[in-house]
Amino acid sequence: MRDRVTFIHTADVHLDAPFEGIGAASEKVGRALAEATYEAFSRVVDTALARAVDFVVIAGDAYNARDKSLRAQLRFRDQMARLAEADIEVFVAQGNHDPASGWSAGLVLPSNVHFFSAEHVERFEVVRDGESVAAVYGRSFARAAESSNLALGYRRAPGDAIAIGVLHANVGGNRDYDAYAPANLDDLRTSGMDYWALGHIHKQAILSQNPWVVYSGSPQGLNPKETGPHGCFVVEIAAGGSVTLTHVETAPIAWAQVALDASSCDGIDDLMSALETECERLRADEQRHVVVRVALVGRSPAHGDLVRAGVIEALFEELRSQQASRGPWVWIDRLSDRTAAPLDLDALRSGADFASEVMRIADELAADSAATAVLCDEIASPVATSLPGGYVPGVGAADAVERARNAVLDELLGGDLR
Amino acid sequence: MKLKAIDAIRFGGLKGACVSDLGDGLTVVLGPNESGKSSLTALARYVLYGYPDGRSKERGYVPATGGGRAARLVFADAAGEWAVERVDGKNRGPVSIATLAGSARPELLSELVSGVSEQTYKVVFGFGLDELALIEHGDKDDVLARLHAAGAGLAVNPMDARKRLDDEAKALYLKGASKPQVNALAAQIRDVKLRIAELENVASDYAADQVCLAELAEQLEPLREHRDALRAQAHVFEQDTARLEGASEELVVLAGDSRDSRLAVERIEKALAMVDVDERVLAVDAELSAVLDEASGFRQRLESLREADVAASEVERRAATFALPDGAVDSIENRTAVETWRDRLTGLRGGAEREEYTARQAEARAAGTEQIAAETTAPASGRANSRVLAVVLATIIVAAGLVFAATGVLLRQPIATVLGGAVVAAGAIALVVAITRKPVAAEPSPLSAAAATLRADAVAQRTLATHSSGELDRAFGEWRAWLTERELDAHGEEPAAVRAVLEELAERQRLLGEATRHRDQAARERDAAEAWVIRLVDTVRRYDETAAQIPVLSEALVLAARAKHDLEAARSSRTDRQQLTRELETARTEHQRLAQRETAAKQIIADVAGRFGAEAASAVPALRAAFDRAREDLAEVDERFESVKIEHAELRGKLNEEGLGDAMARKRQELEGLRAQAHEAADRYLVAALSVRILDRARERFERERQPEVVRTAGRVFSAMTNGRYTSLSVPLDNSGISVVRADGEVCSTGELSRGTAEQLYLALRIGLIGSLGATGASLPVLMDDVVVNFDPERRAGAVTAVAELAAIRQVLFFTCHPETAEALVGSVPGAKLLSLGRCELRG
Repeated sequence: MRDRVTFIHTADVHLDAPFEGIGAASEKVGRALAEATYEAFSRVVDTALARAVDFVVIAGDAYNARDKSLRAQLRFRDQMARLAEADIEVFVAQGNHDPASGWSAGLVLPSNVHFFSAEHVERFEVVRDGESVAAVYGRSFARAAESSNLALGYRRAPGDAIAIGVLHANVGGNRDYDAYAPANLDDLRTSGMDYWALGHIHKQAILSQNPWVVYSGSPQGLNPKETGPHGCFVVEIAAGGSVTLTHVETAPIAWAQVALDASSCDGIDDLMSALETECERLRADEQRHVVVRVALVGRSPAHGDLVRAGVIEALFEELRSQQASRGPWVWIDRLSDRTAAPLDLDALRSGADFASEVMRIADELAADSAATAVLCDEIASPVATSLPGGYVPGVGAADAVERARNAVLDELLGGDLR
Repeated sequence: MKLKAIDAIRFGGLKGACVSDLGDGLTVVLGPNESGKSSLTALARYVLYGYPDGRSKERGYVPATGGGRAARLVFADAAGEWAVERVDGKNRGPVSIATLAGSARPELLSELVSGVSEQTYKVVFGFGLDELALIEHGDKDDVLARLHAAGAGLAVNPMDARKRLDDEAKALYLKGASKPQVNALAAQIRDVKLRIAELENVASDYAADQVCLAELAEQLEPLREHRDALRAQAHVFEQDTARLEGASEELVVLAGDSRDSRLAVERIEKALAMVDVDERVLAVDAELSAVLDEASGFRQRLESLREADVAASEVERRAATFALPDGAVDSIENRTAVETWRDRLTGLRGGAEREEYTARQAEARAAGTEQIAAETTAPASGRANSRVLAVVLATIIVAAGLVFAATGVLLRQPIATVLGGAVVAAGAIALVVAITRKPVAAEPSPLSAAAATLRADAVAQRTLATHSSGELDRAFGEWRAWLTERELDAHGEEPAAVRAVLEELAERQRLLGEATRHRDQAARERDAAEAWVIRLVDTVRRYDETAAQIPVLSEALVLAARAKHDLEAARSSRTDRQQLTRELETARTEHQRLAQRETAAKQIIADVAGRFGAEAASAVPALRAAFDRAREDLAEVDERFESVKIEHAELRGKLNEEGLGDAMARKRQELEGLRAQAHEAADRYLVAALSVRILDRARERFERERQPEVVRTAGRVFSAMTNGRYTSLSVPLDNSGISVVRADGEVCSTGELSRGTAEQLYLALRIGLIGSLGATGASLPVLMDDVVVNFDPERRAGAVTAVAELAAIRQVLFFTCHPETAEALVGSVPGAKLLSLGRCELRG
């Protein structure tokens, strides 16, 4: 009997998926973004080859079938071919983005690639030197909106040296993700698997160590919220059942969100300097390309400059141009001004003039979230009908009220502030 | 800063008219109708803001007398006095600031009108009855906005703020519009989505194309096989046709060639029968050839024989010319002995001659010394010198001894050497004695002693010379005996002559030897020649019995020539026969080969024709027709194959291009970017629109709960002016109309008021507004042109009171044509001035 089995656990590759919420005005950055998912997946395969693993499991969403990306399926086939040359088998569970019923370019994949059935849990044996070293169980999504608990169909067969379950599912009801194939840890525990290779959640997570229930996370963060490490797991299961996980970072592009406190900045020069310092910190920390959203916050003396027409836009363009030209580049996706004038709001609230009336109205709206939501919805609904794909405000009602109040005060008291 | 004078240089009907000496508070200008009151009110505004241009509907007050407009206002404060003058010209007329007193203030005009637009001035600062209602129905945004801003304690009017926020919101989004940012981005999103839909269609076609590609690939292989089979068949047809045609043509050619070859065989057979070969000669071919090969050697040998005989005779003749004794012979020993004798005799002769010379020299020295000694012996006076002489002589003796001894050593004469040594010893002794001996009286002369010594030496030398001469004589005796013994004495006794004789002897001996060698050579050549002739005769005799006699040597070559001819003739015949034999063989072989080819060609025709079921005679056209059909089939299949192949390659290239291109990814990313921009803009719209809502709510509550001070002041003025008939008024922030409240609480709009009451309301609003302006337009005087003309006496009194209040804080010029109004005003304001039009007292 072999003393250990080694495999790669990856999921949510989303080949060729666009990065949500960002546009790339730069050709260079645009090209890098378009290649990022491929590069990340290529690094996963590099890892498999370098470590000479026994097999690879992909727990769903290898690509977005709905996007009908030929390139994604061709490049997926190419990477599979690399693994085939090294005699590494690949076991693929299809998820909500690449369900069995999804669009296919009709490509013929190498024989080392095995897709799990969408009808039932399917079992594949991994044979090495004539010996069955592991059994890999899995089930694919038949359609995108899979609402049944697929985990219930997994049962370890007697005699399996090592049993691995591959599933694309929302285990534990993570509210940030769609509740596809919902399951809980108990459902998984009763299956008798040694290791659950899960997909669907893009952030890596170890839900349990007995048995091991693991989300590998996506090899590349796909939107500005998906910050932190992204890669795959190299899993070693020893003959005795002990599991060793090694996370391998694969994302060529890191995401970051920064709230820069501008309260100590007296003017635009100060702000620019602080922004440059922040970008250099990101560059030094990540050692790779970074896409970052920066929000300037705080009651700042620079607020008066920032609200002038064109100032924040000019600052944004200059910083973006400057940081994009350095290597590795830092792409400023957004630069938002959330600063406010250094007003004594309490004093304003207690006054009797018009500005005080504005403060009081804003406070009343903030206190009545339902009314504010109705008001915001009333404003936003025409926009939602005008914009293809609809519109859900990206700013919360309370935040919107605060920003609106500040805007009114800026207008009314502008002369005093500037 | 106060207005001091208004000067109409040329303005409408006024020329040179001015009002001056204006008071700091109220100045009432009384003038009849058409005295220029309205003109002066307008003049002040035009000087401050410019003359109306062509687009204005205002009366322009162009001078009826011609010439451009020109007017000025004089302002003064504690620091000086300045005249602001404007004349007609571009941009509503150029303005100049003249300093009448104090320092120059080029920015005076800007300072005066700062914060007060022309419209505001027209409505608030310089107005007549025509402008009174403008405060409500004119450019309200400007005037009432300021009224509210002033009353709300803000630097910016809330309506201005609202407008900007609303504009910002509308720039971001406006339902049904296309330019606002969100609307524009929505349009872009729709475009990009359309493009993505197109790309998705391409992708949808991709799978179908993949199937098509596979089908084309499936078609390709059978087509390729069919094409190859047809190509092979056509090739076979082509080859068979070529073979058939070749064989047919070859048969025709072969028929002629076969006939020619048969004739050639017959011709050679005849020629061969005519060839006669002498086999007897050929039987001895080898031997005869060998003998004949040596014929040239025989000929050379005969020549050598003759030459050897001639050479021997010649040498013998030359040897006979030497006249030398027969017994004398030359030999190495003799020559060596002659050399030895020559060296010995030469040495002895030289030694004798040197000894003789030396002896004679010694004898001469001894004789000389003896003579000197004889001449110098015993003279008393010469003793002193005798010692010196003795030393000299002794020295000479020593030198002579040394020479003698040296000569002896050189000549290897021990006796001479010993004698020389003795002379040296004697001389040395004499020298010692001569040096050491003390001079004594009558002592023998030293020269005599030296002479004696020299004489003894001379004798010794002579003895030696005699001995050498004797030696020489004995040697010559032996030499002569040696010559005689060898019969060489007849040619002199000098060794050189003897040597010459020996050399002649040697030459004669050499010649005699050479003659002997020539004779021996001649004998050998003769023997060899005779042997060859015998071999020749023996060989020839084997095929020609007539050659029985052995010829003399000189005729042997004739026999050899005849034999050579016989041999060559035999050989030639044999060669001819061999050549003809070979030719015959070749001709027969060729004939046979042609027959075989003929058979093979016939076989090919039979085979090919048989394979295609045709008669041999018609095989060629039948086969060519089949070949043409096969070629046509092949061309058709080739074309189809190439077509499918190209289609397959193009489709594969297209699929690769489509599959690997990143257009869709870039478009989706662009779509994400646009969505992000749109949502961000929409968020900003939400905030801006919310800002407007907040501001509206604040305004509504503010209007309801907190009327500005300016409105309250105006209400109070209006109440006083109407003698309490109206208690207050309300001015909404959105300028939706002014409301007044009657004493009975009824609220009514201005439209419901009488003209006079409405004018009172408007005047009250101005007074309230001006009173709250603070520093804004502080130096601008308020010019009112008969604005109370429609007031009843009671309300006029109220208005006078209000104007008087205003004059307490602002400079007021009140134009009226009613003396009673003028009087009431002047009477109600302490320090008020009353001026009449027409008086002009401008300074400067």
